[in-house]
Amino acid sequence: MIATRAPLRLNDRMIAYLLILPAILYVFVFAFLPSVQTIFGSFFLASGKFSLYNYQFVTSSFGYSPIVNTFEVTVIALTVQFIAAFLIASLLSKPFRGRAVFSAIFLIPFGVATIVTAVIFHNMFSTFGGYMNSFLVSIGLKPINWTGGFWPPLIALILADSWKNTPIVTLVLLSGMVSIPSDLYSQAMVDGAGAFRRFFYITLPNLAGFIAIALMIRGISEFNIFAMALLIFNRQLLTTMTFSLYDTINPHPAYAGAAILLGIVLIFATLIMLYRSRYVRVV
Amino acid sequence: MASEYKGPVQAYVIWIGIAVFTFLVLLPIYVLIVISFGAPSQTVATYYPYLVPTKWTLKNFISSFTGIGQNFISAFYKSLETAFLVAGLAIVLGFHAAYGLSKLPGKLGNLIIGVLFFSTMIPSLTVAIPLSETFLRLGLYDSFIGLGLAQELIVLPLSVFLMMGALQSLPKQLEDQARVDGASFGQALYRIIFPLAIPSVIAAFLLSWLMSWDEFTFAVIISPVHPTLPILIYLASSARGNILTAASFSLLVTIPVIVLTLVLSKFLRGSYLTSGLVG
Amino acid sequence: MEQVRPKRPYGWVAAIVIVAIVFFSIGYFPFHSTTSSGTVNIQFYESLATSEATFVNNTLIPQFESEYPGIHVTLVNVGSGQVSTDILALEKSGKVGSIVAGQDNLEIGQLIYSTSGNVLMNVTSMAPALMPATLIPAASNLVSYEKTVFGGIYFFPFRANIPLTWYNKTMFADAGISSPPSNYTVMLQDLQILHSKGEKGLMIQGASNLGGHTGSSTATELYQIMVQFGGNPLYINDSGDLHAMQMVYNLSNYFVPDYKNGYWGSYNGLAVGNYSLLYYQWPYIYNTLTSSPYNMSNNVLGVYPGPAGPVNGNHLLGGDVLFIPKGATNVPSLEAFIQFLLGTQAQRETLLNLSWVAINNASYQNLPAKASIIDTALQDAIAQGVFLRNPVPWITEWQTILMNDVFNKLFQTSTPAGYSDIPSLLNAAHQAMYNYILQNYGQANATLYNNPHNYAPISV
Repeated sequence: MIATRAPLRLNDRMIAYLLILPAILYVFVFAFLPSVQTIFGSFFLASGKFSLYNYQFVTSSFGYSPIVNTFEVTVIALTVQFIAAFLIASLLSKPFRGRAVFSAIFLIPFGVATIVTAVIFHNMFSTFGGYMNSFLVSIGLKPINWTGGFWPPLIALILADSWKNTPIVTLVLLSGMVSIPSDLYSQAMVDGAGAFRRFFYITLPNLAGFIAIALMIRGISEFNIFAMALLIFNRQLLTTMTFSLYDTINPHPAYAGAAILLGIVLIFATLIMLYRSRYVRVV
Repeated sequence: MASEYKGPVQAYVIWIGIAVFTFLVLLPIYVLIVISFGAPSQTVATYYPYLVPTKWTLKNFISSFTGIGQNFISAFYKSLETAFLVAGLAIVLGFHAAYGLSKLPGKLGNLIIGVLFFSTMIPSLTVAIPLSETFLRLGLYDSFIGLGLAQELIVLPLSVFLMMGALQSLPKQLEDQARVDGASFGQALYRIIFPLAIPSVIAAFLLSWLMSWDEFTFAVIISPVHPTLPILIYLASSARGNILTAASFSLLVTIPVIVLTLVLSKFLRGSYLTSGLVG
Repeated sequence: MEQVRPKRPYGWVAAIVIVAIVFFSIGYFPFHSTTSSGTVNIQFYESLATSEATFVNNTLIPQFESEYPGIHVTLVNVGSGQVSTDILALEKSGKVGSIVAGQDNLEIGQLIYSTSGNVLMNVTSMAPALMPATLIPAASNLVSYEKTVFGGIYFFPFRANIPLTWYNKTMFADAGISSPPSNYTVMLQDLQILHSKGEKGLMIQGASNLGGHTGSSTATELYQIMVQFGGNPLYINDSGDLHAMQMVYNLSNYFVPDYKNGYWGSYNGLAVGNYSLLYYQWPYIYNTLTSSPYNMSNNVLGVYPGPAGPVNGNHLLGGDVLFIPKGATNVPSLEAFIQFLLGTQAQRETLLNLSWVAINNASYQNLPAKASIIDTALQDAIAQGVFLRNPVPWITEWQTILMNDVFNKLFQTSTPAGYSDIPSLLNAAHQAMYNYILQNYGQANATLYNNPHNYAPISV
């Protein structure tokens, strides 16, 4: 895939660096500097003193439930999205009439704005009434209180998030699936392997690299879920917690919340990188 | 193509699967249309809304453009300006960075790719709060330039990877041949390489444009006074407006985006997303 | 690997780009063009509901501009609670412009104690010319308060806003209850009766700091109840606060499920029959519920000042105040606009059309004979007594602590604490608030905080 690179002439190398420089500068100014500011600011109080109190305030007020909730949402959402994406990608990897049309249709949720998705699903999953409850009542079931208990709000949020984001996962998995040579499957069928064994021993291992990429892209976004949680979810997540801490008089507790969020995301990303370097064969 | 099965039973399974997923995909769009055009007495002003309304009206749509709706046009332009700035910056910064990266030797190149990738991981909220402070001092608060610069963070790494994937799959001899024939570096880059990479450039442009159009976190913190469309919809779905206004705006925002997404799907191949990263 | 080249829709893309550029240019110039010279442009920052914003744009501003042809006013309607952030942003950028702003008096403290200091312009010298000759007592007490505490006048009372209690007359009648509850004990009994007759229960603004509404609705509602039980809400665990929380706990047996999302924008359940009693909500919902799409009639929609507590029946005085940010330009035009907004005519218009409680006493003369239900309720509420929340700098953190340490643990979590836990929850919250003040504002202020007579609600 990657062509071997011949050693460059010196001024060509310089030019290459020059071309990359603006992008790197941008990332430095707009990503690293603000992050450093956030981390730095989280250690200072309104009075200007250096202290860990902001973190103490955040954990004593909110406890660890925002972190736990964020993990729950991330893990369950990723699971749902990957299962759905595998199913859809398997369907789309087979030739059938109208496949081009269906590929386009499945991409539609990707284009619908997050806030629009949130508005629609908020309406569908209203505590009273709402379309979900209308539907349940029309088939003879009892209406569900979508803000009560553990599962209903989680289900509403997961469905909204998965509807919007499964297409991108499907896209990545599909591009991986079509690159698996069909001889592997034919051989396996000749050897008598059933569908499940083919999936676990051929499809999954060959897709490991693609799964890692999709996990990385989607996982980070899941930790950052914000607009949907604002409208649909009635428990505290790391993002909504930081937003509620934001105060024009004393912004430092919000910095602490934002720093915690950054820390959790970095830990997750590192874990994925480790998984990738250990299990993914370089293609 | 990995086509494993050929059989009539399997064809039914495929069709049922397609039908189920198509239904699930289109259902929320249906709900949006119903809320926008159904008579309120059958949609929002009733305990259990009708699953298929019998009374339809245009009044929701029309009355959405009074009051908070008058902001729709200015929000539309704010979103538009920001999206074009973001997409334009993405391909200008990104194409050159992608080309440079495709030329760099392994270790250093991978390091820079890692740095870029790392920057996608930083949560928007973490960056938005200090950025809004900085922008205040620079006079960029609430301007589309400030917002565009902030949103660029989400799209730049992805654009670089997209274009890098395309650039890496180009045969090396093309460029070498051009240089041997006496072309300068600039001519080789813009006359030979760039035209061949145009599909990925367009894909990066459209993708960045769509992501900016959709962006919420930065917009709500950096540009709240003259909001972009997503913020306007958010305000309309709280009691500042009402749900009917929010639904009408949502519909107006979604239709062109669906069209653009369908156009994008012709350009976007998953292989672009992944080739820069695998290995 | 061979390249199969699918057809690229270049034509479509080019068309879209050209159309976009055309629209962009057409739209850019009208919205960014300079206005004619000689007109002063001023901006009016506020946070209004749709109906209110429409009225300001279509009625009030044209009235002002016809009186002052050289001044053009633009309403900048921002999200709830956003005025402080936006004004602060402008102050920090150093370019304020010609701005008059209206801010909820509950949040004005954010601009007085901001990280940039007090960013309100001192308007003591202008006040005699701008303020009306006679103010309603609550408004004149507010002005006295700011002169005492801040040493000058920094904001003008603009309108008073008092939350009211709403109920469904039909549901009450069906349960055999002839009048709405006059105090909390009767409210509890009425809810028991309603429940036994199969009617719906009580709705509160209970969204707490979850979801997009960041917690001030619930905390503000609890504030009123605590005051009515004789407590100092900022102190959190005095006996009045304790009794108030215990009453809320008892009432929670009759909360409708919607309460978990309740905030200042929740009211449509009254129209669709999802609750029988709504405690409490701001008066603006009257116009919204009685017009399309809900079209409630006065036979169904009931409103009254609400129950009184065992100690008093004082109501929270919300409502907006007007101010000029420091460094604003074209001050004489700003003064003219303020004078107009506080004048008899404008105050009367908003009183009659938006149910805004006028602070100008003269607006109440010669009102139409038929006082609307909402005006009666508001006047009754004022007569019972009103109070202001004390504008301390740590009000946001107080809300965070009250919500996380008390309210969420009792009413938002899936494993709620019990009645007997209330004292310890309140004690822990008080301690947390003390620690916050100690760390951020020093021992002196923390000691002040530990005296429940300090930071008490302000009777006006």
